[in-house]
Amino acid sequence: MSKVNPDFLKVIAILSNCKIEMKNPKPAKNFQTRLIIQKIIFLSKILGINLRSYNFSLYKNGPYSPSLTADYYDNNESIAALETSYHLTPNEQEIVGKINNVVLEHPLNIYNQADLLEAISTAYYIKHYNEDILDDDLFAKTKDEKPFISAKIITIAINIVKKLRFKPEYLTKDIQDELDLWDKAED
Amino acid sequence: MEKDPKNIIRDVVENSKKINSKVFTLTRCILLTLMWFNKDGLQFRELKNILNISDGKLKSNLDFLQDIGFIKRIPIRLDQKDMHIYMIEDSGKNELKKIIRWVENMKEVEGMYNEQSKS
Repeated sequence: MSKVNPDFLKVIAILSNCKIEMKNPKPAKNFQTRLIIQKIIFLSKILGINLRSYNFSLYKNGPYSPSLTADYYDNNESIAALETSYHLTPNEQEIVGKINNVVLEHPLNIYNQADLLEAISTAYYIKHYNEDILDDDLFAKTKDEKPFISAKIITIAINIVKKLRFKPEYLTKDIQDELDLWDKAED
Repeated sequence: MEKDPKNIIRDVVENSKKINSKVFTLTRCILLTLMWFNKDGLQFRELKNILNISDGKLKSNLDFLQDIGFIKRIPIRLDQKDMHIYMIEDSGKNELKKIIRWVENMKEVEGMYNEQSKS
């Protein structure tokens, strides 16, 4: 058996820590499984998990890595069984936890998982390479990349991207006070 | 070793005969290239968005490539919706390789022309 790419062992560890249910866990057999893997691994990498083997490019069909594709076709059985010798570091666990809490536990993830993951990863990619982009422009660019995804899902996806990019140090006392006021207003 | 200019021209002509002229259209070449790059398969709606052509034109090109066995159409279920994805077959990859080889022959003509211009 050929040697497995160490980054791919990390991919399996990420997926095994994610709250996802794959109908057919063998990527070679199921399109939705392949889509879930591509988008979750893209988010893991962009949020800071070191996965040098996989470079993602964006052109109309969402962030996509051909080298990741090659690895899951070559290791179809081990990814289906979620077998890995790699253990996530505390920092990596934190990133996966964030993906679980913010993305995978979102109610839209139940019936619109593919569209939601496509929209989040596309919007995140655009935002990452255009830090100063305004929300309206981010919406327009995401819609241009994914015209078949509804405006509602794209809007929710952009909010999720904000949550994913948020760092605790951004939360100053002033902002917290304002958020508390909004919370009270909602009550 | 430099290739004989006579052989370069011969290759351009002879290798062009190996290409299926019905596949050598812009849309069909792009479709095959996209499916070769995206091994996971592409949905109709994604291809339409990339190529920006009408549904009818896309469908007829996909049907043609499917009929000659260069691509396959696979039913999938995505977000509770029944859809199809298109994936390239080995014969489709082989046809693209022939086209690439032929374009490389053309590049040799360009190289030959540049060499002659220098001297």
